[in-house]
Amino acid sequence: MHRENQPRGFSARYLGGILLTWLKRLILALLLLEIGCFILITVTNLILFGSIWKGSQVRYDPYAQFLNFKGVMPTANNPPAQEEKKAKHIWMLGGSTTRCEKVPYQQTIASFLAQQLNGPGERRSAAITNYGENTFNSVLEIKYLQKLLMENPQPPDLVIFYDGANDCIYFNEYRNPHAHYGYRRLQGPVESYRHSAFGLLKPLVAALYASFTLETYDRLSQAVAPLSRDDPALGEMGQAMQRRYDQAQRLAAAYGARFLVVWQPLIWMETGQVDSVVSKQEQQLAIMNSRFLKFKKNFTVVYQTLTTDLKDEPHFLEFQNILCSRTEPVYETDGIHLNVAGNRMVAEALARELRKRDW
Amino acid sequence: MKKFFRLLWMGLKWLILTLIGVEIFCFLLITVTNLMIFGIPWDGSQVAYDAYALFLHVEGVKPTRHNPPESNSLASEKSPRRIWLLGGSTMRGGWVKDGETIPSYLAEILNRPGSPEKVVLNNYGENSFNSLMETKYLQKLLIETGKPPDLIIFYDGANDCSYFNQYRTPQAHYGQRRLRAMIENYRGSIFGLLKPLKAAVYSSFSKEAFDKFRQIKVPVNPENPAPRELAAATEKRYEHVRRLAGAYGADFLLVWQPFLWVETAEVDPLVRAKEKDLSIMGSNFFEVRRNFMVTYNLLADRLKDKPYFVDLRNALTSRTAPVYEADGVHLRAPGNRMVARRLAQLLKERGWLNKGEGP
Repeated sequence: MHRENQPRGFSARYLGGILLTWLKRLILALLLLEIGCFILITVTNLILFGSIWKGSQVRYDPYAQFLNFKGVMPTANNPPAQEEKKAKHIWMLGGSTTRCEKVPYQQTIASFLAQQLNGPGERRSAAITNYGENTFNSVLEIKYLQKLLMENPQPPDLVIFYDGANDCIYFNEYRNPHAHYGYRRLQGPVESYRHSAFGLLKPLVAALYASFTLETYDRLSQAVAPLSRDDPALGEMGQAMQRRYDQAQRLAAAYGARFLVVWQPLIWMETGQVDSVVSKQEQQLAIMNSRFLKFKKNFTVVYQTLTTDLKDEPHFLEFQNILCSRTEPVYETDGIHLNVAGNRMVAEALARELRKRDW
Repeated sequence: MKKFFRLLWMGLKWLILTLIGVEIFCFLLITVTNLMIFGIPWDGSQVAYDAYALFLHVEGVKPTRHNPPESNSLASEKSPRRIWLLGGSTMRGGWVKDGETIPSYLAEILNRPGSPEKVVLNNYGENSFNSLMETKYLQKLLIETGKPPDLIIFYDGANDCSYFNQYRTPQAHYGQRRLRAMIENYRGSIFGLLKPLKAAVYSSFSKEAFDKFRQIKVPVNPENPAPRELAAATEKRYEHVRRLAGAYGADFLLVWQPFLWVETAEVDPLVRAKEKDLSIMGSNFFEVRRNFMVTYNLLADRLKDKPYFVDLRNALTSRTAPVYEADGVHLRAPGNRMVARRLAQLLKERGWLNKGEGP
């Protein structure tokens, strides 16, 4: 009787029921959102990379952040093991364009360079190690170089950084001179732990930062805001790169090695003349589509600014137009990665440059 | 069949409930332990992500008193010499006043009136840093500085032992498991596709409780491969730091820090009696102390012949009052002053203090 007289809106049980229902709905909605994003990302990966995963399988490394699970990419055409001690050692660091996982290991830039430098008539053999790691830019390479120098009993005679593309890509994504692959993924959990009481629930935080929902958000908001040449972050980026390469040069020298930065070629950054038939064929590449105009424009601003900032450094080698003499397409659909013919051309140009520098 | 599935569902439900129960228990255990030890529910400081060093204190570098004013230094004919001090919380001295840290006391001694040259000291101590993190931080500092130091001091020992004892890997550092979770959650297996779940499992309090249990209860055997690998890796790291410092024209000094239960020299019996009451000297912590001692001695033994190594384990044994905090590792202001005096004496003995003056 009493219950019937009490207004329903004030019943604690009723309010609790409503709260529980909405909580259930919220959790269900979040779960559905996450499942939707999971499907979206997985299908997109399948279409773009032919695999349900993006990137390589990596393991955590306290110095380099992460390294490919499969280890170092092998290099063909190196001298036999018993002669390696007498050989000159070259370490090549870079991203996926150096690692060249998409081609057989005998057709990487490193393998073609070894072929060039170990050919008949060469005074001394060269042993090349391909330390290319997918998605690495100069930030991660300088950290990796420190680890390699620390842990390797045989120091190199020459260290080569093959850079450009990933430095531009991750700067555009994060607008930060120290940006690298997965920057936000690491930043989130590191900073959130002590930021609030929620940070204390670290398994939940880790799940949140690893969620497909956040990944979808990152991918959608990536590098679409236009970048100005006067952007202060871009000025900082140039200085940061100069200082980073200065340290790489000092570090290499501390172990008795020389240092070289190769500024890699990219299809839409070329300024030299390319055979018109080849050029026409390349217009069909996905990256040349107008949908990527904004991406390419931002990329160009960073690439050109960095080239200007770095071009007077003695260790800087500009390869922007090194592939313009091609007689067949050498770029993959993204206009960054090279096919076998492209890798061979880069290796030949690099070998010429090393001979010219009396290396 | 129906009964079988009902039993299976019941079993699964109980398993999930048990796992959640274990996780909640571990969460409470760790949070309460943090509250008891550090007075806050978190372990460590509030930090910001750093691409080179992984994380740095949000409040920035701890100020050092008694440095010569920069404006005067610039005006003077001879620029001051610079010392960078790196280490963990014992170097940072977060719980004492700015003027009571080891660098401040050292600056006071080195810059006292009548000193032939002025010295600027920077306290780059970061809570929970060990030699691995310091090496990464040093790389960043050297990349970014416009004024490289003349001397780099690493003040190590406690955190190198602590994190090795927790993780039993030579590359251990604070928060290693959480960072691994963010890096390795994705491509390990099909289960990796559910990366939020995997990240949560890796970052769970149950795993943290396991690590802490290992530190407290599982003895370190110096004959096992992991401690031997730790010694080799640590030696390589310091050798690299020496070269890295040299690349910028700096000397390197490694100070092996004192803590209460590794001292081997006589201490005033009255002081000793008082120190017996410190919580770390209780029988509950017997295995912690033993593990620390094994790792500490193993590393000290490996490094003792290095020209840059200085063992300060007995630097505080002449004390006339307790100088250690309750954990037997962190020092009170008088302890910091004693360490600074010993360091100043050391710099004098090694001829570093008047090195800049010429013959």
